[in-house]
Amino acid sequence: MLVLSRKTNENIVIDGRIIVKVVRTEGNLVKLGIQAPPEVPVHRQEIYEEIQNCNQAALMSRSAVPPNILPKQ
Amino acid sequence: MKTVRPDAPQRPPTQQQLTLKFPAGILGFDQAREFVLHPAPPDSFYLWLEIASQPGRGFIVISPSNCAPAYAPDISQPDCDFLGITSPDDAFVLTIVTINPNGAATVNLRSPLVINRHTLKGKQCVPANVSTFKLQHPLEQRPAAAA
Repeated sequence: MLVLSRKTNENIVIDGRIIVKVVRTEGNLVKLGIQAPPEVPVHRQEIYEEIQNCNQAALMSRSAVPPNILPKQ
Repeated sequence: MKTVRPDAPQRPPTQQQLTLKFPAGILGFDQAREFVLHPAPPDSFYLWLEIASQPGRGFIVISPSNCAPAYAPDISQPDCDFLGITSPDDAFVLTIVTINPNGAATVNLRSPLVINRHTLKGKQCVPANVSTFKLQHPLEQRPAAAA
């Protein structure tokens, strides 16, 4: 992991197209602004992981859908 | 950050098969850019959302208007801009259902699929009020379609 120190209002550039800005710091809290192309998803890590896990648990084969949910084909 | 709240989760068009485009995929499935939303079966509000590149594989989805009528996700302005939606009438919402090993069904209200009903462009969105919703909202096994 690359560790960089930034002051408020300083930026980091990722892949030449994603900008992370330190907007404000208040004690332990850091407010970050992220500018990224619209197709690049940006999320808090814990949210990202829980959604990813939930999507993966939900993925299924049509043939495995219980008949009381959708009729058998 | 401005938020746009769809006042009533808008109903999906379910009478015909639709191809939905998700330029950012969905989380954990970045390459799933195209989905086929199958027409609604006669006795159920559940729908089948098939991954176009993986025929036979996909997700059971449901409109939140059929299982969580008070659901009011605050969709962020950047997501609205991405989808080209300027009013709630431009969008319909689908939420993903998980069938647990014990057969119980839950629906993910934390990260709805929001689709522009005119362009069929969609995105899995995290609403600003995400913490007020459940990742595994319990469902009745079979919400019966209205007579």
